[in-house]
Amino acid sequence: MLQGQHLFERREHDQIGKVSKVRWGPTPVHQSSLILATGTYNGLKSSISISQVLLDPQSANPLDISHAAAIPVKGDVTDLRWVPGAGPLTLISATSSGIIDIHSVAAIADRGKRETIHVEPLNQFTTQGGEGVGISALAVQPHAASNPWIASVGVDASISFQTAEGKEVQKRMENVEAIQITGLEWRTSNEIAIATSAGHIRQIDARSRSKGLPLSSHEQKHRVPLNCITVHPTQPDKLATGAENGELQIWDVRNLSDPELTILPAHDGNVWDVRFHPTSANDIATCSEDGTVCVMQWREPTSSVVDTYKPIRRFRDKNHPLGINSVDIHSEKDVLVAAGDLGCTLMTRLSRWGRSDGGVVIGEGAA
Amino acid sequence: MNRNAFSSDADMDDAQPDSVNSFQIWPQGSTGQDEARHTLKATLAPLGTQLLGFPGSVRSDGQPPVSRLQSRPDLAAPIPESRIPFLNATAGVYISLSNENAKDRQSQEPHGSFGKFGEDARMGDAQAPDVSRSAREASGRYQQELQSYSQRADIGQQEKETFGDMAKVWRLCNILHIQNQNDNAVGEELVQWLNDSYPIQPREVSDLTETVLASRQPAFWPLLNKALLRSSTKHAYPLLDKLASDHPAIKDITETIKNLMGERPRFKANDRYHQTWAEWHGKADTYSRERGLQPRVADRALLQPLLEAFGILAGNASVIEGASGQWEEYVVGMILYLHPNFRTSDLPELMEKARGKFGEDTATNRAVAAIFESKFDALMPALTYGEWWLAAHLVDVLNKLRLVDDSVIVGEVPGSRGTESFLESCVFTYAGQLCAHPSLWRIGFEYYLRCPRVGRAALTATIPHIPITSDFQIRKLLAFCNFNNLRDDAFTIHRAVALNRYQNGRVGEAIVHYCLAEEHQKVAAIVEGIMDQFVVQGDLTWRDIASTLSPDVLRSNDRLIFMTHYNRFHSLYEQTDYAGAAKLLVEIFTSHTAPKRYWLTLLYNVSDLLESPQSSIGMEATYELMRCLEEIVTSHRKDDYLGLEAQRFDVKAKDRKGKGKVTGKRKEPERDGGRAGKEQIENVEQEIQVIRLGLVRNLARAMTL
Repeated sequence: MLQGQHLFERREHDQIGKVSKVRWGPTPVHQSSLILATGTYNGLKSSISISQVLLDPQSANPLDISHAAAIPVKGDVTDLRWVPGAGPLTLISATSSGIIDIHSVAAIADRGKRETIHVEPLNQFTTQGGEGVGISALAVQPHAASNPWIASVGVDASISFQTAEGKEVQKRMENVEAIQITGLEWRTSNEIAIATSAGHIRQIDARSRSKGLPLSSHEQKHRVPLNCITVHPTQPDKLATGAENGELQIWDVRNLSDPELTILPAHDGNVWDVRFHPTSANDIATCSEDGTVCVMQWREPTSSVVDTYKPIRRFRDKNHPLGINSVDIHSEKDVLVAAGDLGCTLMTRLSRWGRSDGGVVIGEGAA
Repeated sequence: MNRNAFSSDADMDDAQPDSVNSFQIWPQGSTGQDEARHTLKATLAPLGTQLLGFPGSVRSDGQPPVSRLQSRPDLAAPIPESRIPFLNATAGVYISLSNENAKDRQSQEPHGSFGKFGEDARMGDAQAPDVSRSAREASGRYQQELQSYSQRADIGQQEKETFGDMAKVWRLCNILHIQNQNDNAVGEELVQWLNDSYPIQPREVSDLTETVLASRQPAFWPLLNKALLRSSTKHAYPLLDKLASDHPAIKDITETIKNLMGERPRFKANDRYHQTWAEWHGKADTYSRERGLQPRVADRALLQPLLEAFGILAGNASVIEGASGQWEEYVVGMILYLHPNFRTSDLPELMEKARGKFGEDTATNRAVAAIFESKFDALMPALTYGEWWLAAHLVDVLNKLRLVDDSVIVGEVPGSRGTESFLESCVFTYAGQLCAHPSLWRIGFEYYLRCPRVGRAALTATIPHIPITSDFQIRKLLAFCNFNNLRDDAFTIHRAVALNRYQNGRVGEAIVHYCLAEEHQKVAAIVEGIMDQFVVQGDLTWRDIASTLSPDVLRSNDRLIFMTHYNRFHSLYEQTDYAGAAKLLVEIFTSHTAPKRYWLTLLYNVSDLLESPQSSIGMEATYELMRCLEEIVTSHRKDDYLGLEAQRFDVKAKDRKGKGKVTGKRKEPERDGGRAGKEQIENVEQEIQVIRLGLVRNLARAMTL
């Protein structure tokens, strides 16, 4: 377990209710401003909110959050994704009522050179053949020249593929798993990876009809229910999953018959979200029901080295003792954001904290 | 219906105005009113059978309540959306504080003095957080949140006033009792509190300064005196300047008052302060005497009010009493100008004199008075007439600072059973409000957890009623139950989810959740259901389930163990590992993991294997298989044991006639084997002869080899 604990620099109680997902917009609005999307899980009162985060122009530390738009949704927000690429900002959300909403988000400067965020609905559709069958997770196809596929997982373990512009489902796979699918990510531009509550992952080629084979640890003690999955930004053979028992699991799936699994004990409770650092990809951020965010450094396992990780930093907020449900790191500004059951947004700039050789930094953070 | 059916709040607190003496049961669909035209509310005690009634906050005739905090707030009133971030933020502070308190208690528990455990425990002592300090920090944070929310521009007027009142009470308590641990002088902070809580409106001053000869206006001198009592230069200076401009002859007098106000020494506990204070006080005293002022004021009409103004500054008790419009002003004026080193502990004595000036008997006023008088036994009931947030959090902080013994006051809170402490009752009631809200039930749970006597039972009653809106929410609820060792509640959730999944055809998930709910009979029934579908219709759903469920789940039930083994047998068979498959099949028989209704199916598999030269089933194993075969054939429940295979014949026959086509929905196999036709049973018996012959041939071969 990590010993050092840091405090978040900013805590803003700006959400109406419990936050299920938080995601940075892919590009900064300008040098001192970022866009943040958050989704809540409050049943009939759920919403997606878009905020602008102002950064200190000198240090890039987060200074303030200004709320730009709130979009009411039907059902709990179960996933949020920004469409990657250089085009206009597009946000895709999935809900437990089975609806996928697509919004365009634009920052428009007024005469006083202040930027305001405008949000417009683009499209809305259901992937599961109608409302009612909730969506557990969605992911947007990477590296697509235009009109990327959106993969979504239903609570009935079906997987649908369709484009952001169309309403028709391009491809649908029924009963992919006998148990619940809890996480979904595109591994390559043609393959998706899913995590399940039975503790295994599965790779599925979007072009084929095969469901692929389940990949799991040979050690039964590591077959614990998984809550989330993410893919290494540059090595698609490396996947990270967060488990119910607080473990962060790093999968190397180059050998499909015997995937290598590295277990990192990160938390004392359910790991709800896991993200590789977009640029320093050996750093992995996880958040948990134990109320902390952990950033671990992972390195390639070698035959002689058992310890294949270095704990770096653990972040907590004294006045946020409840679970943290989602975490994200901004690719350019290195700002980590987390949010959870108290509806507040917690932020810190990662490069603000130094690293020690021992891998553990013990220090006091600014409140 | 009978009147006086229930006792009312008024029975507990006779002093309350507009008391309700009796309740009546009104016809369904109508609204009841008491004699004072309050709307009556009632709450069912969640854990008992009694109905407790109390007056609602709004009169049913549409008129505003007599006083905003006069009656208890409606427990069922919706929580405004704007308040949610405030409630979440303060919940974080509350949980954090109570966690530290729990750590502190753990560290104070007696521990052994030997060995490692003792050492650890001593280390725990050294590292134990100072709960008093944490409580003070938390109190400061609560106050900050209250003030910041009450000043928000986007909230309604009533919300603003409610939170303004709460901020007023909390800040006063903070100044006098919570932060003032060394009983320091509190005069300056009280002045600030008075000015912020009951501010002089700028309009009052500007109205006067814009009139000609303002000093002749009836409001002028009372307002100037008010500003002097509060040492409010911001309001006093413009009035004094106006006075000087209307009466240039007394400009030096108004300047003197301004100078005295500006030079008033702020209290410091040192000798120099006392000297400065004495000099300043002497100066004010000189002017407050008629002979000191008379030569300088030619206008007789101005002399008396100016003497009063100097009298206030000189700390003349009777002048201060006469000039103060409310008792808080009197108390603060007396402290500022007569007893600047006044301490909290001196307040009760001063409050005796102020008692006659107490204003309207509102809950806020009662709470403020109780705080000034340090009478916490009066404060706590008063708090229950305000927002439950205030009662729960303020009593909690006071309790952690050991300023109140809350165990002596019970039964004051609607819904309380009288067995819990006052603090627990308040927290419990507040938690109930939160749990009724779709966004706030999670923090409501945390408040329930901190009600040692009734909290867990309330959680058990509440958790099944939380509407399930998504899978993520289910996982969150289960994580909460597991973390807090609420085993039965976790079982309840698992059962509900399992049923939902089963009804939606998600058999695998249903099995997992029933396993986790320890509903072994249901698991067995479902497994047998899907195995029956395999035997009768060849449905392979069970194989998907057996290959994906986690080992922990698969090991938790005999039927699942059988399903797993049988799945492994099929895998070996598919891999043409007939020896391994045969060995496993014999193990399934000998270990008695397979229910007898599947024995015949397994024996069919055996007969398939017997044809393979690679599968070597030895003599003893063959004996065992033969024994199993004869056991089901000779049993009085033979029809049951052969029933499944008989149904297979039935389905085949129907398929041949074109009646057994799959219509989209699975046909459940008959659970009762006896329903299979006699003809089908006879068909099965013929096939049994083939199996028997195969076994006998294998026995002969095994004996030979």
